[in-house]
Amino acid sequence: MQRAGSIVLTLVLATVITFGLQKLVPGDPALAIAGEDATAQRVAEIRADLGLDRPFVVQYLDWLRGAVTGDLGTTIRGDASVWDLIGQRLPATLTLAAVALLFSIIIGVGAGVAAALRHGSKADTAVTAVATLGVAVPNFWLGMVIVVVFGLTLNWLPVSGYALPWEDFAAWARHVTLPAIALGTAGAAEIARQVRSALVEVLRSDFIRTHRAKGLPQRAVVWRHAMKNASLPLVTVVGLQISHLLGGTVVIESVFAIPGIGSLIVQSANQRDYPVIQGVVFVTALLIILTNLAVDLVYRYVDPRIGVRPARRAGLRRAQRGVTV
Amino acid sequence: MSASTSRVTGVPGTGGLRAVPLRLWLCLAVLAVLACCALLPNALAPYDPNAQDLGNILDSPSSAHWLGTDDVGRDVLSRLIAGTRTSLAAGFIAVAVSVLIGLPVGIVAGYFGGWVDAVLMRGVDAVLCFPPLILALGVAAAAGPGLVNSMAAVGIVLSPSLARLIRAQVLAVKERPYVEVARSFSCGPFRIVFRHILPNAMQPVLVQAAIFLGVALIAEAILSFLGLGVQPPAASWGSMLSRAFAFMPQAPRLMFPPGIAIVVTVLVFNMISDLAQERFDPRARDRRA
Amino acid sequence: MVAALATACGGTAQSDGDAGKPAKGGTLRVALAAQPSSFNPVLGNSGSADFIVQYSIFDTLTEFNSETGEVDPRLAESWTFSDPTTFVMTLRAGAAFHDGSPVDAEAVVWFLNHARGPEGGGAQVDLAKVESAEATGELEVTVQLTEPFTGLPWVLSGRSGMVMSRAAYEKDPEGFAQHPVGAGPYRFVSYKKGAKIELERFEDYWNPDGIYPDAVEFTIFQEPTTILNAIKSGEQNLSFSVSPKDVAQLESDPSVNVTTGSSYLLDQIHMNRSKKPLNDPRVRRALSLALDRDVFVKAATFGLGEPGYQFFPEDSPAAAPSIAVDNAPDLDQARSLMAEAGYGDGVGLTMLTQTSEIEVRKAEVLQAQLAEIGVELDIRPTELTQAVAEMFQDQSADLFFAYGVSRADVGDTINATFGAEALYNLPHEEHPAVMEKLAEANATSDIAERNKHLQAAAEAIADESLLLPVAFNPFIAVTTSSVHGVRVDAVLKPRLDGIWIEN
Repeated sequence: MQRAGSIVLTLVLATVITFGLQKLVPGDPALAIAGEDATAQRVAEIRADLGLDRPFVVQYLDWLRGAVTGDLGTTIRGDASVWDLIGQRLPATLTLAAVALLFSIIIGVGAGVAAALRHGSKADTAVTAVATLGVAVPNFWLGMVIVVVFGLTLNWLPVSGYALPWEDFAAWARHVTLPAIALGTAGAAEIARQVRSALVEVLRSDFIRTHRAKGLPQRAVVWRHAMKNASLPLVTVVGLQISHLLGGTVVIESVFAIPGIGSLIVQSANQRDYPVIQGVVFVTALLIILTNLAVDLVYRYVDPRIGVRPARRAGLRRAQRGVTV
Repeated sequence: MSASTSRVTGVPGTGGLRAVPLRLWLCLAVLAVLACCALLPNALAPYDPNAQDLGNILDSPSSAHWLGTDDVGRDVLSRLIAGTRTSLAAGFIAVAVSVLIGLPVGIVAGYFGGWVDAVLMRGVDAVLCFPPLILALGVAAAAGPGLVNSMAAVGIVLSPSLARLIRAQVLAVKERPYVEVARSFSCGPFRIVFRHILPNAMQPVLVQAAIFLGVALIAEAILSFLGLGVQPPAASWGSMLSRAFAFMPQAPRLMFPPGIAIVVTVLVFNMISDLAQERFDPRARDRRA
Repeated sequence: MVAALATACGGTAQSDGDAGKPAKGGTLRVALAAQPSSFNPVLGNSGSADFIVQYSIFDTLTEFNSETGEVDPRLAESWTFSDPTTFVMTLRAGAAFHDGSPVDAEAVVWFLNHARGPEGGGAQVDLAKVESAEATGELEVTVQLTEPFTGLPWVLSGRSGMVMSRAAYEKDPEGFAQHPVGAGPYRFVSYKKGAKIELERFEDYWNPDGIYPDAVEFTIFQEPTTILNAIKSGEQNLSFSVSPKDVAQLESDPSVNVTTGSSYLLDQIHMNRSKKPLNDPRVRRALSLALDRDVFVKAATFGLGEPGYQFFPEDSPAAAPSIAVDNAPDLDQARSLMAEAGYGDGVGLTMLTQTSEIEVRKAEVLQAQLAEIGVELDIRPTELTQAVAEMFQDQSADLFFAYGVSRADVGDTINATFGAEALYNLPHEEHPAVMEKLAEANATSDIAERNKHLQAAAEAIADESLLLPVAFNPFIAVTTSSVHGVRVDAVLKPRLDGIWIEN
C-alpha cells in the first residue's frame, strides 16, 4: 500500500513538473497557431479559445482530470488526439529501443562474461578498454559516424526512415539496424562493465569455489550459479538503460529521420504544442515508473530474500554511475 | 556507488594495479593539454577562431590549416582550441549547479530524516522519472538561450542523483561513533554536518563529480545539436559538431575533431573517477577480495 | 524582367527530352521538411509544406502564374471587376468534390462565407475586405467588397480559394481536418501526424490531363540532411526541401535530377523601428549599405540565390528598377551615416535568428559584415514562435533575421508587413506612405497600372529602409532521375501538376 502511495505521489509530482515546465517555457502557442497572419487581436482571440488565459492551477487540474481518465486532449490545433498521436509514434520508438536494448544485452553480457572468465588476460583488457571507450562516446556522434561510414560511403543499409516489423519485416530489419547500434552501444559498454565486475566478484566467492571443488563443469558453474548471483547489477543496469534509451531516441530519431516519440517531442516543442509535449512526457515518465516497478519485481524473483524497498535502494545506489543524458 | 557497494570500474586485482600508473600518466597528459588549450587559447591557436574566409570554405587539411576550414572558412584547429575552454567551462557550470542543489538536499534529507527526508526523496524520485535529456531540454528552453542557462539546466537534472548519493553517505556517516559522540555533546547540526559528516562523505561525491563532467560535456554537445548551445560565433565542441552535422554530406571530416575531443575528454574524466575510486575505497576492495 | 525569369528557370527542361512521353502510373513519394499545419486549408498558417499537400487535395478558384506574375483560371473560368468593389466570377462546369457533390456557385459562396467567418482562421485576414458573396447564377458568384481590392483574384489562388466540400465539413466540422474533402486532383487516404500522408488520384477530376501518378505519399523529415540521403537512396523521389549547399553535389549525381530557379523567398532583417537606435532611418540605411549581398549570396546560398536589394525580386511586377543601384555596398557612406546618427564609436545590437545551423550560419556572415561599420551583433538563435514573441510582442530585441516568402499577391504581402493590423510591423501602426500606395494599387483592376502603384510602394519601403532585404533564396526541386515535369514555382508553393514518373 505504502509502495502504491509512493508511486502515485511520485507520479503526481512528475505531472506538476511536466505541466509547470511548459508554462515556464517562453513562446506563445497562440502565436504558433496564428502564424504568418498574426494580428494582435487574433492572437488574443486564440489565447482565449485555448483557455490559456485561465489561472495556472485551473489549467493544471483540468489537464490532470483528463489525464486520469485517459484523455490527454488534442493537439493545440485540434487536428489529432494526443493519444492517437502517441499511439502512432510509440511503436517506432519502442521497437527501436527494444532492438537497441537487445543489442546492448547480447553484446554487453557476452563481452562481460568473456572478460570475467579470462580475468586478467589480454582479451579482458581489450574488453575493458573498449567498454570504457564505449561509455564515453556520445550516441548521436556515433550515429553520425555510422551514417557516413555505413550509409553514405559503403551504402550497406538505409540511414533514414523507418518501417514497423508487423508491416514490413524486411524493411524494418534494414532500417532498425544502424540506429539501434548507435543507440545501444553505450548501454552495451555499461552492461559489459557491470557484468564483468559482478562476475569477477562472484567467481572469487566461496560458494563458487565449493561448486567447482564438487567438480561441476565450468559452463554449469558460470551460467547456473555465478550468473544468477551476478544478475542483480545486470537487472539494475538494464532498467536504467531503458530510461536512457527513451531519452536517447530524441537525438537518434533526428539523426536517422525516424518518426517516433523522440522526434515528436522535438516537433511539438518547435510548435509549442503543449498538449502533445505534456502527453509525451507523461507517457515517458509512466513507462519509466513501470520499468522501475518491473526491475523491483525481477529483483524479487532473482533474489527472494530481498524485500522490495532495500532492493530498490541498492539498485539505485548502484545506478549512480549510469547517470547520463 | 556508495562505500558499501562494490563495483569494479577499472581493473581489479593484480593486472589492474600494475596498469594504474600508466593510466594515471595518460590522464595527466591529456589534462595538461586540455588545461593549456583552455588557459592559453590565443597563444596556441594559429588563427582567430572567429575569422571568416568566405573564399576558402570547407577546405581539406593543408599546411596552412592543419584540420582544414569550416563552412565559413574558419580554421578548424583554432576553433577546436578555442572550444576547449567553452566546453570545459560548460562542464564545470553543470557540475557546480548539480553540487549546489544536490549537496544541501542530500544533507538535509540524510541528516534530518523523517518526513523531511520522505518529501525530499519523493521529489528526487519524481525528477528521476524523466529521461534526463528530455527534462534538460525543457528546463533549458524555459531558462532561455545561452550556454550558461543550458548547462545550469543540465546541472539541475543531474542534481537529484547526486542528492541521493550524498544522502546515502550522510546516513552511513551519521551512525558512526564520533558523530554520535559529537551529538551527545549537543553540538549544533551545522557544526556536526560541516565538521564531521561532510569531510567524510565527500570522497564519493568527488568521484561522481568527475563522471558528471563527462556527462555534461556530452550534454553540451546534444543541446547544441538541438539549438540550445553557445551563442554564435563562439566555438564549443558541441556547436562545432552540430554545424558538422549540417555539412555532413559535403565535409564528413568536420565531425571528427570535435567528436574525438569530446570522447577523449569524457574518457579521461571517467578514468580519473575510476582511479579516484580505487584510491579512496580500498575497504571495498578488501571486503571483496 | 520576364527574360531574367526565363533564364532563371532554364534548369527546368533538363533531360526530359530523352525520357519519353509522360505516362500515368506510379507513386510520387515527396519528402517534406515540415508537417502541414492543418489539412483544413483556411486554418493552415505555414507556407510551403501546407500548400504542396493542400493544392493536391483542394483545387483553387484561380492559379498564380509565377512566370507572368498574373493569375490564370482554374475552378473559376473567368472573372471581372464590374466596378472596383464588385467582383464577378464564372465557374467551370463539371468540377466535383471527392464526395461527389458539385463545385457550383452555391458551394463556392458557402466556402467564401465559411472562410471569412469565425471558423475561418487565417483566411479571415485574406478576405477581410469581402462584404458579401452570393450566387448570381448556377455557376456565377458575385462578391461585394468593402473597399477597392483588385488583389482578390491573387488571393483566390491560395488557401482562400481552396474550396472545401460543405457536405463533408458540416457532417463533422471537428473532424474535417482529419478527413479533408476538396475538389483537387488527389483524394485524401490517410495521415499519420508528423510522419506520413497518403493520397490517391481522384479519377473524376475535371482536368485529368497532367495528373499522372496513381498516388502521392508525403513523408515528413526532421533533418534536411536526411532528406538528401532519402532521395539519393531512392526511398523518396521528390523533394522541394533541399538546401542550396547540397545542390552542387547532387548535380554531379546521375541518379538525381535537380531543378533550380529564382524565388520570392527573401532572407530579410526585421528591425525594431519603434526604439533607439533603429528608429533612426540613417542607422537602418547604414546597415543596408554595409551589407555585401553578393558575398552573402555566394556564402549563404552557394551562389544559387540572388542579392536582395528590395522587398520583391527583380522579376516581380512590383519590383522598382531604381532600387538596386541605391543599395550597392558602400562602407564609407555607411560609417559616416553611423557617425551622423551618433554611433561613430559603434553600437551593439541583438539579433534573433532561427535555431537551425543554416540560419545561424547566415547570421554569422551578417555579423562579420556589420562588424566593419562598428555594429556588434549579438546573435540569439531562438525557436521561431518565441522569436516572434520576443521581437514583436515583448520588443526585447533589435533585429530579427528571418525568411519570408511573398504571397501570390505582393500587395497582400505589403499589407501583412506594414498594415495597421500586421503583427510583424514595429511600431505597430500603419505606415502611411506605403499603405497609401497600396490602396491606390487595389483601386485599379488594370494590371499595368496596378503594378506601377505596387512599385511605388516598394520604393516607399526602400526610401526609409523599413525592412532590410538581404537575399532571395533559390527554388530547388530534387527528384530521382525517373521523375520528370517539375516546374519552378517562385512563391515556393509548387503544385504537382505535370509531374510524371518513368516506369
